[in-house]
This record gives sequence, structure tokens and C-alpha cells, in this order.
Amino acid sequence: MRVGAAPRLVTSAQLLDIDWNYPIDLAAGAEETGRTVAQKERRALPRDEALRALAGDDRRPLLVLRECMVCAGTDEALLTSGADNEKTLLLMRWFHCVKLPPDTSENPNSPFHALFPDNDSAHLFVSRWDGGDLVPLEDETSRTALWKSMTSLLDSSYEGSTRTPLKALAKLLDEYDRLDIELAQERAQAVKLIEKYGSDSSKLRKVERALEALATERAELDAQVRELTELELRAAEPTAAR
Amino acid sequence: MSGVALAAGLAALLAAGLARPTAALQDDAPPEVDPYTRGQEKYVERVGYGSFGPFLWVPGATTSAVVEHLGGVPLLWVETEHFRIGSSLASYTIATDQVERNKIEAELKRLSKQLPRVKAGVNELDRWLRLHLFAQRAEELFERFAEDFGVGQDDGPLLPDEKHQLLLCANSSTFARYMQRYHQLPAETPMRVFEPHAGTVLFACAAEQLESFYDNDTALHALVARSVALNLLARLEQAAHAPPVWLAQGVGHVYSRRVDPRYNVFGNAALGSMEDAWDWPPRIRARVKNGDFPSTREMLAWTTRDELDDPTHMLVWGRVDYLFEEHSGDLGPFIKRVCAALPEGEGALVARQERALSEAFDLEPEDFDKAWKRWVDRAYR
Repeated sequence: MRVGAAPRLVTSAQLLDIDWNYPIDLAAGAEETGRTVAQKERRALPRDEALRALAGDDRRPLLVLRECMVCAGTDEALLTSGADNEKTLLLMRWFHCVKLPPDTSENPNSPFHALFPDNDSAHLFVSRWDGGDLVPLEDETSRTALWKSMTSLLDSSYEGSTRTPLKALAKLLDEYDRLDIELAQERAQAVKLIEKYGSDSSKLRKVERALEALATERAELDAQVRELTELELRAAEPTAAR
Repeated sequence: MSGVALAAGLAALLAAGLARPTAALQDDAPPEVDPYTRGQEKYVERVGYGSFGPFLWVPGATTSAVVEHLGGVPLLWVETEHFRIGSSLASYTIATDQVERNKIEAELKRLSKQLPRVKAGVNELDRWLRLHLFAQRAEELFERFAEDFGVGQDDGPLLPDEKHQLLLCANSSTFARYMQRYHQLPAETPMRVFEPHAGTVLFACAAEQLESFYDNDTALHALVARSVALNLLARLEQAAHAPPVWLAQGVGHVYSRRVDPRYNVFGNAALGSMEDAWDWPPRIRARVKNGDFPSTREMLAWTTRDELDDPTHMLVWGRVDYLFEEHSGDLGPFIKRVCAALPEGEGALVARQERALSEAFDLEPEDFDKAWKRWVDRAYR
């Protein structure tokens, strides 16, 4: 169940799904010799190295969130109770979303400590892939300010604007919900018919045709989503990370 | 290393939930000492625990190191007779659902016999109590599984080199970091992982992975029961060959549905409304009456779980339910035969199962179809 909005059905919820990355310090991985495995200590990476580790080969703008040991529900810096989070979630599909572990600020040995060096640090930031144009954000940040920061970074990172695709994707959510309802009704009807008359029932053919038509319609919506989401990144010019 | 994801069935369950703010990590931080044993030896021994940690979790990493590597997530640990369990599960308010209330009350009553500080009539399970409950559930499952398959609990086959591992995370992030860090797996769904070189057999999941659909302790218990049973089954056949897909899935459903039949990981999605999709016996009976079920010969030829759609999951549960009810004493020998080394040549997979059915149950494939149909008609009324 999402906070602050009417519940979405399965497919539209998938569209709103955040593809989080959870980086770990691979340098602190295991050294294996037969059955004996020694675990290297974690170590804090310098800021530039930490940013490079987060971005990897991905040139999308970054959205980096740190979990927190004391705050209740750190995601609320992004997803706020009582607010409509769908716009935020749709905008996030153009970001490289990263979630860091809860001791990032408190533990000086935490690999990404340099990005959130103390507990007064913001809970998240958005930036270009190399840390340029970094905007720290807090849960008190208004939705309008959050969206403005996100949109501004997207505009400078992608060739096309996200405004038109964003509106179109928002409309598709309702379409997906309608389709999910119709699909569920037809499937339930098919199950009833199979259980009552068997899978050879002539009545089942009509339902199967309806299911096929709905599947085609859904494939068309999926194609629209792919098209709307595919924006070309601008040529990656490193910026001076602040 | 090999991992078995529950991706197909859980993908839909996961979909609706990832957009919510995750649970607070430490809004209900547990006391460092378990309040139910207070670390007193007489209670620790009475409940059959070896340790609350730190202990070695994987080669080269103690439980303390795991906590450090996962970024300080507050994990509680316990070592029981057959399991090592880690939990970052948050405290849980028992649902208003009377079935769940009764189930948990009965579990707490059993636990209170070993740990008098446990009270059966509570409305909330704190983080330590959830750990105790899952420890009790795991050991009870182990005992039941050993009985079902006629295996002595201490004579080896069910235990890997190390004890079975169970990692229950509150948040998907902790789970994902653990799977990356210790198993090099980019996992989003609950996983069973075997590490032969380390001698470990693990089931790991995050409660958050179930939140959007089956957001309760009983559904998590059902998922754990299914997955631990499959890990035990994998141990039962040891180094031989994996059990046939119909049998493994059916066994998993049996143990999950014993916890509560409403929370099938696979099977419910395509069977109509949430209100009655879980009610499989009358649905199976109706399909059997209409002849809408895969024959034994078809089942024996399946090689991957992808060949089972939702109704088929329901039907293989019915097949295995029949074997549990009518041939309970012969399940162990059947598993041993059905997982024996494959004979050479085309059709060997089917031939091995046919031979196992015949030797263990005195059933030819067609006899299995007939006997099952008769039983369904009688038992699933």
C-alpha cells in the first residue's frame, strides 16, 4: 500500500516501483582460501571514490538516500504521508536510485560515510552522475521543491524534457488499473467455467477471446511505457562535484 | 553456490509494495538482553538454545561481523538445536483476524511452558518474541518433517554440515545487501541458497517483500515453512538428485498450507478472487470431475517450475496431499528412490519416477491417476 494516494493495482504499482540499488563495499568482501574465509574490514571511501562507486558505468543522475538509525521511516524524505507520491515515483524512473545503509553517517568506517558525514547531513540528495549540481533534500522539503530539484536535474541530464512523458505515464496508470480489473474479472469467469463445465466448454472460448484482447491492449500500453521512458542522456561532461 | 528464487510467484506480490516508506529500522530497538530468558542458563537450556550470539554465521564472519557489514542493522540471533536464525523483524501487532489470533496464542502457550515470562494473551509481539516464535516454528517444522519422512532427527540426512540457516529481515534493503555481500546474488525475492563449500543451507527473506499482499505474521510463517521444508527436502536427498518439480512444489505447498491455507506463494493469483482463491479442495474436485488435470505421465516429465501455472500448483498440492494422507509411511523410501542417480538414456527422468512410484507405493502412473481421483472425490467434498 502506498502512502498518501489511492491504492494502485498490480501493474500500475509495478510501473511506480523504485528500482533501488543497494551498494555494498565490495572491497571489504571475503578473501577465500579453501574453507577459510577472511573478511576484510569495511573502510570509508574518499568522497570522489564513493561517488564513482555509486555511479559505476551508469550516467543517469543520482538519487541517493541514506537509511537512518533513529528516524522512523527514512523513505519519507521522498514519500510523504498524506501527499500524492506518484509524481515523485514516476520522476524517479529516470534516476539511478541508491539506498545506503543506516550507519552511513554514524560510522566513520562506513564506505559511503563521506557522502553523509554527520547526522545533521540531509537524508538524501540528487545530483548528476558525478556528484555535480548536488541538491541535498530533507523530509521537510516541500513536494514542490523536491519535484523542482528533480526536474531541473533531469532537464540538464537528458536531451528531451520529462514533462510530456510524465503526464502521459500518469494517465497510463489509470489505464493499467482498468485493465487489471477487467483481466481479473475475465480470469475469474474462466476459472468458474473450467470448474463448472471443463476446459472444453464452448462458453470458455468467448472468455478466452476477451482475455486475448485484453492481453493485446496491455502489450500496447507496455510499448507506450517503454517509448515514453526512453530518453537520451546528454553527453556526459564531468562537472565539478561540490 | 546455487540459489532458488521465488521470483515468479512473488513478483506480483512485490509489485504493489515497493513504493511505500520502509519500516523504521530502530523505532522499537530491542533490549540487548533477551527479556524472556534474561540470559539465565536454566531457561536457555530449557528452551534448547545454544547461544544468542555472537557465533560463526558463515566461514570467516561472525554474527557481529554480519551486523557490521550490513551497516549496523539491529539483528537478533539465536542458535537452536538444528537452526541458526537471524532476525531484524520489527515488532508486530497481532491482526484482528481470529484465525491468526488463535494460532499465535496457541504458539505462545507452547512457548510459555519453556519460558514462563512469555504470556499467551498479548496483542503485540516484540522483536525478541518474534525471534523465539520463529525458533519454535523452525524446530517444530523440523520435527514434523522428520516424522513425515520417517527420518531420525539426529541420524544425519536432514542436517547439512552446518546447521540450517534462517535469515528474516524486516526490510528489503537489508536482505538485498546480505545476498550481495555473502552470496554475490542480486536478489529481490526470497531465496534458498546452498553453499556446498561452506556446508550451509539458507533461507532468507524480508517481511517487506510480502507487505503489499499478505502483510501479516502468519503469511511470513507460511512462506518460511514452505521454504525450510524445501531445504529439508533438499537435504533428505543429499548429494543425489533434486526431487522432481511436481513433488518439490507439492511438498512446499503442504507445509505452507499447514500453517494457514490462505497464504499460498504460488497458486492463488489466477484462481479468482482473494476471498476464495485459496480454497483449493473444492476447486480440485471440480477439475478432476471434468478431467481437467495433468496426468501422472505428464507430471513426471516436467523439468522446471516454469511448466506449472497457478492451477497446476494447486493440482500438484492435491497429488502430494494424497501421498501424505494415504501413503505417509512410504514417503521416505519414495524420496530416496525418486532422487536416486538417473539411469542413462532418454526418458530416464520419467523412468526413475515410475520405478519409485511402483516400488514405494505399488502404483503405476495410471494407477496413481485412478487412486488419486477416487481419493479426491471422497476427501475434498
